[in-house]
Amino acid sequence: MNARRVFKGMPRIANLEIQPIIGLEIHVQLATRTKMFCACAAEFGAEPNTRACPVCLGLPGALPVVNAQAIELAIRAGAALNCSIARLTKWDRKSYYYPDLPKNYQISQFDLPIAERGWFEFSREGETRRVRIRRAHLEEDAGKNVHDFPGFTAVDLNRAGTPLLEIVTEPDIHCAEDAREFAIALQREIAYLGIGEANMQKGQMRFEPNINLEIRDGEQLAKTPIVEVKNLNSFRSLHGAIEFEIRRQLEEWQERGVTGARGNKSNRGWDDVRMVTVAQREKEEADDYRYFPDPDLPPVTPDARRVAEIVGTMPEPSGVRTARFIREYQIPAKDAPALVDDRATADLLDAAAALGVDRATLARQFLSFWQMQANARQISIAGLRLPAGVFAELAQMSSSGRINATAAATIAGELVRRSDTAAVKAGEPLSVSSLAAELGLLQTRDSDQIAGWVDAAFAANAKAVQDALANPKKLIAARGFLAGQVMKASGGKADPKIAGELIEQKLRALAGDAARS
Amino acid sequence: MAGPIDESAVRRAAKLARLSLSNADVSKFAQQLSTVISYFEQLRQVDTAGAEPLNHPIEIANVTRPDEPRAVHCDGFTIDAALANAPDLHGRYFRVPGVFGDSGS
Repeated sequence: MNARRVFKGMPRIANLEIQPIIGLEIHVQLATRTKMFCACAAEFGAEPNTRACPVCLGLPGALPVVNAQAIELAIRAGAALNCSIARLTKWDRKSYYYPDLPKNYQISQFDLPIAERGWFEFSREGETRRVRIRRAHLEEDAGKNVHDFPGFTAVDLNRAGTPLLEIVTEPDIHCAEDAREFAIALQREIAYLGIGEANMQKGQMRFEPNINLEIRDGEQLAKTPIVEVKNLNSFRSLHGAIEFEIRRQLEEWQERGVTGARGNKSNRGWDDVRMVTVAQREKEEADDYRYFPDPDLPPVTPDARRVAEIVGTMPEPSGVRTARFIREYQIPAKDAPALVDDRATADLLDAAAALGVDRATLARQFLSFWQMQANARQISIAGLRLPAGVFAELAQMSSSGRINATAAATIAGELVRRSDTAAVKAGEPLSVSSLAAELGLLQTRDSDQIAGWVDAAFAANAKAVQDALANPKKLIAARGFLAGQVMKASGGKADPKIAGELIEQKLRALAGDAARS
Repeated sequence: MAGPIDESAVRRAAKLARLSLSNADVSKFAQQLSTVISYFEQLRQVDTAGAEPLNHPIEIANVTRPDEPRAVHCDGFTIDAALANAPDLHGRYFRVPGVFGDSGS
């Protein structure tokens, strides 16, 4: 991301190099059962003001206490974002006068966030791109103000105190597409690692891009004022808001020559219907948050051992897993999401592979007939609820030549059907090899038996064999034809490698006889 | 940030705290707060080189609770009682003077 790129899609302006500078603030709701500082349930869609207690209401004397799980999930997020985890992190009050926060301050983290200085990668057009992470800190969400009524505002405090992780990137993004791809990759990772549900419809992840332009005209460098677009809750609106701002700022600079100075950052909102950003009413005075340490909350000091334990037991991030799957299972990059995206299925693949089977065969079977079986039932492969050993055994039988590819697919279908039977549900184990035998799908490696089918094929096609021996050009076709006849006679059970060898031996012997006579 | 607290600083602090002060109050508090601030001037003379910053007045850390929903255990508190004590309600909502614009965070 360091190379300067001329922004494309802009009206061409002679001699001007325009570089959008974009940073993101992302709010992620953490997947906890209770709120950040009290034991009220963190729930979506309950009756107004039914999940609120003295802490949520900001009543005098109420004592907030930190949710241990929120700390754990924040450390997990910090690890996924390649951040360093603070050895001491503390809580600060951010003064904020608004009825959705009855305390008149939000508990947040000012100078000692739980995680800082990391990076996160996403890929676009087959290229890996890295965005540096400045910090990630914990805070509480506000309640909900409902403005639907004339002359008054209605306040629901159910959401007040819900744990949020605010992630702040460095301004390393330079176009709307990269911002969207970064956001999509981050959303997937947050959900994958169980840090948050990250459901955009439920508002569990919100984006606030900071955008301005660097405009270079030869030696001259102009910067437009920074705009922060508030509260975007879809990838589409994130992309649209950035696209719009880039054009709007360029036009404003061309028409009025407005450039940025320190401190003249402004906030804009997003109109999702008209697809434009709109100026938000400027406050009379700049926000004055007057951060100061919260005396009710002692600091948190995650020790190195505990951090290592949390990081060691967390699932492998999907980005890391994708790279590993492509390498270890020898699958094309485009097939990786089908194996990685559902965590239980990816875990199952790893568990089956750990039983010591050929990984490429196993992955191929997952991507072909296992995926088909799952799709037919509209579930994931893990949802088929077969033990890892079954997947491993089938792959093993396939790679060792005991069954052919068609038989493997047939057996898979039968395994899925039988897994629903009472006997299996009662604990009777599913044996792949006895099922293959029962269905008559095992390939035979008995040379005598195969030799019998080979002899029969030669006898039935004596004329063709003679022609092939007389004309070497026909030999290859004849080999294939004979092999087909052997497979047909054996009902697909003849080991194709052994059959091929026997056919070759017999052809050579006949050719020798012909030469001698 | 040394220096006396002048009247405009008091008016600004009062505005942020939503306090309405008389002119007499403003001048009285300007003097009193200037005195308070001057104590900090004295504290600044202490050599703190090498001292760890104090992040919390009590030397404890890591006070957490498990992530388990629990009913409020505060004597006599119910959310319905809290709603009943509110100056104004609209159904189960707290009703407050109209706020325009959006919250942000």
